[in-house]
Amino acid sequence: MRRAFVNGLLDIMGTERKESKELTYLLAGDLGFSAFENIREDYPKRFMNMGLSEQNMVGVSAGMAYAGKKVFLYSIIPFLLYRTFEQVRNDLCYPRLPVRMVGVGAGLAYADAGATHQPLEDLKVADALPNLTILNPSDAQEVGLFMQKIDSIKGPSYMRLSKNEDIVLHTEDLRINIGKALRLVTGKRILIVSSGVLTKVALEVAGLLNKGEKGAAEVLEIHTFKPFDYGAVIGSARGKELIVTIEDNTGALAEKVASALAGKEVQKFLSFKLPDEFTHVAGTKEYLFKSYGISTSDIYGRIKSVMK
Amino acid sequence: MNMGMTNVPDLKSIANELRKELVVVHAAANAPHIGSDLSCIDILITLYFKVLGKNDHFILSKGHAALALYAVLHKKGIISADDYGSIGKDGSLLAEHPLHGMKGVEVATGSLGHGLSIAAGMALVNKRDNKSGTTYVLLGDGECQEGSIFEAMNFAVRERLNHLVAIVDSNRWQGLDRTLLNAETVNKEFSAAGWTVNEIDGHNFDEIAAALKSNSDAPTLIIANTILGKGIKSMEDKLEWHYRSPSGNSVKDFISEIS
Repeated sequence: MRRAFVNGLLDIMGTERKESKELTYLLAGDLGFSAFENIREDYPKRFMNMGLSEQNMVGVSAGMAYAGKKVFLYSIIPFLLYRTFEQVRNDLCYPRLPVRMVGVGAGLAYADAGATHQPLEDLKVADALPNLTILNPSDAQEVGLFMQKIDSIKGPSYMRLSKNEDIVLHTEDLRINIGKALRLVTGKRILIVSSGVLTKVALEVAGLLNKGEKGAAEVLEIHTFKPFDYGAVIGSARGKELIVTIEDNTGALAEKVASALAGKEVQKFLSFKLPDEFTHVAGTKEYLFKSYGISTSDIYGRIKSVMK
Repeated sequence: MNMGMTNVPDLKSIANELRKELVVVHAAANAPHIGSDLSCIDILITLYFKVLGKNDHFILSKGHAALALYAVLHKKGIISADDYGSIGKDGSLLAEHPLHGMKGVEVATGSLGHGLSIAAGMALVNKRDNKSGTTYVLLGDGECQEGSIFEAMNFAVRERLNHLVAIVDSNRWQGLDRTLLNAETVNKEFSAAGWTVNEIDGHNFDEIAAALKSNSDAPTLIIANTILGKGIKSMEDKLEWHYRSPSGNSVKDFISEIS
């Protein structure tokens, strides 16, 4: 996913160079080893390592945006969003400046790095901020499409990436609109709503369900977490017997979907989310997700037991 | 003597006028921070009446001195009489800390420790794009205790932001006590980091103007030694005037002290 982000940036900077413009900058919080070499080589003036000074990084980006620049900020999510929370709130969101925060290590992507590096609640935290657009892509292709459309976002944005693995879920003809959910699979009985990289799991679960019963499961992907496409959730939920949410956060998606469906007729609701706690041990992300009951087989099993 | 001397009476009379206004406005709005307004009003007057040009930027990082800024912006004709008269009333656009989008306010502030980084970002773009103009930012000395100031301090040196000028309103008070950092320590820290540091009397218009206009090949810090509540003897250097506002009969008495 990170490679798609870098390639998107190189495209933007290349276009600007052709037009003799110098608008877009990348500011990094001393992270991005073996990621930004191409940018540093081709556009040495457009990349700045801001050092371990994240609050300053956000403040500087605000000043640059006031002066007409388009600034991308890059760091590991807790340092980008939590350390700097007030700068993000007051200096970017309040004046609605076009600063694009790109965080790496969404959910349990840094499973082996320990609890300090794992943003398990970042969607809730970011969702609390007015004027912020939250992008939660499920694969590298979506990252590329977001980068192409980033200028259409007038205020600040926050895009959360997994790590450097290149997940491929979507076909090349994918089209997305920021703020509009994607219906990836249509089905009649079960609605699975997913956001972010666990969309891969959602598709696998739906595949298994639909193999057992053709057209049973529908998958709705929320790639833009804010503004949230309540209408698509309500529309897809209509007539379903079971609503399922799958996320790598502590209930941000489940709560959104539940609030979308409040007052609507819903038969059953299953949410697959991380518990409201810090991780206790290190391991692979597959290991940790499994320990929380979030895997294709666990989710499939739970759904089957509810639908029997 | 230099041109500055001939202008001193003008600035002094503006300062007296605005100090009197501030007493009245604070009393009417029951607004806190008059002590801080009075400690930095001479700096703001010098900036707006003698220094700032059309390519310059100014950020009031110590946003709690907003009423002093409004007084100056009103005197300059940037804020309308209607808006200025609305301070403290429901629906006013002039809050106790500057709101985003208010005419004359480039950056909304209020939480301390934000302005220096934002100013550095503005100064960086000016430098990279070879644009003229200086970015000024007014900090409190209590504010200099915020860690983000330390981050911005080092960044400004690395980027050689020679058209960045930070002024510290050094009245030696924070909200409840003396500041943890004194002017001497601020001076040492910024000097050691590579800033050009000037220490001046923050109530001497000649010294303020000279310091604001001085050139350096490094970012500049002006430590303006000031007095909380300056200009009203019974308020001067008294902590209670960080938060209290004048009221009742005291308004007349305070005004009579201003000369």
